Amino acid sequence: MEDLGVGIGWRSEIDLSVERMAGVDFVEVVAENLHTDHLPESLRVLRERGVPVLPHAVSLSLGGAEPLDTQRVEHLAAVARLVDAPLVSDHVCFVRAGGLDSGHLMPLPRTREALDVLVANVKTAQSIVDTPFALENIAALLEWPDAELTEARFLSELVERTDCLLLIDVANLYANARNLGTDPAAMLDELPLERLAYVHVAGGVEVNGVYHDTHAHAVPQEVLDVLGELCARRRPPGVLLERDDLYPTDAELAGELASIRDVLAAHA
Amino acid sequence: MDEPWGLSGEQFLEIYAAAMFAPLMVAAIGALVIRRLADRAEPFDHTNLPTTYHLAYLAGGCARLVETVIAELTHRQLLRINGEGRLSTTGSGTDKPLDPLEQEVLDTVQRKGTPSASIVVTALADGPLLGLDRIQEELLRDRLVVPAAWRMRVRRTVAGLYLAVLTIGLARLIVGISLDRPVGSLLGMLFGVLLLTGGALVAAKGLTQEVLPTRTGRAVIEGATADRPRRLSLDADSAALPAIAAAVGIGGFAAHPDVDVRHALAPPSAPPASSGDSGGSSCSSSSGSSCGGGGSSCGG
Amino acid sequence: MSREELAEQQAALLRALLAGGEVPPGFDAERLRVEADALLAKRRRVVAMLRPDLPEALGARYRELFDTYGRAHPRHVGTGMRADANAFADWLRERGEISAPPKRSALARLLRRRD
Repeated sequence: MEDLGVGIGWRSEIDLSVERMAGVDFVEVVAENLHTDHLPESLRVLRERGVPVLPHAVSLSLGGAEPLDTQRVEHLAAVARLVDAPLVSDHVCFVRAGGLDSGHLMPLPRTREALDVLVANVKTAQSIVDTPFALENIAALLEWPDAELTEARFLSELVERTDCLLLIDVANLYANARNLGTDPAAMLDELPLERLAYVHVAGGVEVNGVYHDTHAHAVPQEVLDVLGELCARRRPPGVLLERDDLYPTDAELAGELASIRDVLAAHA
Repeated sequence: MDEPWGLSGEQFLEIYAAAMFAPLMVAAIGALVIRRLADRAEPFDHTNLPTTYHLAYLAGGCARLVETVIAELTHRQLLRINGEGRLSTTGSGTDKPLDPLEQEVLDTVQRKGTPSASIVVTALADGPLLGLDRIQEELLRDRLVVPAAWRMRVRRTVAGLYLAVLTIGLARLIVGISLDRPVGSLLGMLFGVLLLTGGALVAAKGLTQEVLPTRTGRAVIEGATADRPRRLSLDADSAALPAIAAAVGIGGFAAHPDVDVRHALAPPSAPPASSGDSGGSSCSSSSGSSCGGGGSSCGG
Repeated sequence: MSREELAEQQAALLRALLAGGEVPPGFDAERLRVEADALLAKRRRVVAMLRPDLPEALGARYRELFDTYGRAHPRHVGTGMRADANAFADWLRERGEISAPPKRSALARLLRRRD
């Protein structure tokens, strides 16, 4: 994997801020929010400057047992061509089932059967998209019963069988540790980090004892600590800050990017 | 021959011709006189204005005032602007207490989600603005604006005079027709009266605009305009804040010194935006971007 | 377990979370409630972002009214978020919670189109 550096999620609400912020080495765009016929002006400026733009999908429902909606994959492929992306991604999850749309990333049962379905869908998606595909671990508030594999094993086999890359969200590792009692360090030990594409960092908030990965609050130190754990094992090719709502000042966003750089520097 | 009202047709037309122009004169002279009457005896230094918001309101009324508050809050990072000119709050705290106007702009942005700047300007400039009373009072106290009541009085006088002239003309027309006299010339003159009413409106234009600066007021705007480039180029850090607000206060969004922000707030393709950069002479009436011209709809 | 069975299990989970369905066997009911609330909250936020005129008009009642609507009308596949937001507006109008189509949002759309 080529070195991406430190980046931030591009969102139209903060387009000028992202465009003008110092030290943004790459950006990520939510693929579903872009039209394939024209690029927002700010992204065009960033592309002209040579800043990589990585499309990130949220709706492919790659873990869904119903037939894959290939139109959504085609859209992702078109967006990737539009921004000349080195890499695209989506999540290890399902989004739709039985005619209902959850509008969010739902966890998969960690069974052989579910893994087979996921692998088949990922292979179909890979055949449509021309760029390398990365898959991201999600934050879950609930767990399926009767798991046959650990999450790390599940992800490792997925990588083995599809040759996809990993997009590790350390905020999701932290959220799962808080809500489901998983151990981020143990999971990092088991993951094939040599297949790491980049890392997500995001903030959240605790409500009634449950940690919500909101992407709308400051990044807690604990999430940076998980990033540190990861860096201690392998230097990630890139780290990206995700902020999706309640955008703070430019100064605060820049401060969070600087904190990420500090963690990277501490493990250089 | 018994002449109606003791005046021959010719005599009436002569008098009527003079009467036709009287309200026009009243309008023109009225506008001039009240500006002078409201003037300060001695010059007023623009740096003595309590805030840049006073300058903005003086130069462009409510819409300009709101534009300036937006520019100021954006600069202080309490508001963020995106590339499409949409505003959002940053939730940032502030070391300086907020002016009621600033609070109102922040609340409006918050309430409307991520509204475009022009929506916020329109929404606020149309309604009663908190804190506007104080600005109006202080500008009046410093004799930088002509009191609205004076302008209203002149406007009413001019309108009343035209109503009278029209009524007399119409009455004479009816009398003329009933006596079977030729009324062609009178009809022509009545048409002329209508034209002149329009003329009087133009002559009294200043009387209907939202804010009418006195001569001193216009000098204050010119002084601030001349001062602007110097402030911007000199100590950029300490003076940047008043400089940005002052630039927008004088010239609207189109004069925002930051080119990216300017393009977001006032896209260059927009209607023939009376370029706020023109600097110098006549800023007082240039209606910037979204002012909506005439009417004093500001409330407050 | 076949792919069909997995599809049915996923559907049953979404029904429980979004459409008042029963808690599928083996799941923690309390966890499902937390997840259901989180999904509804996310949908509520997105609708507010797409139709800021609605929370503006409803004020503090927005949340309660949206939640009533959202629970009774889960979003179906093929209904975009914008259509969902507009359907909520129609629902409010039918119940007399808001009046005539809001002028402002039409104006906002027009302004957005211009640039």
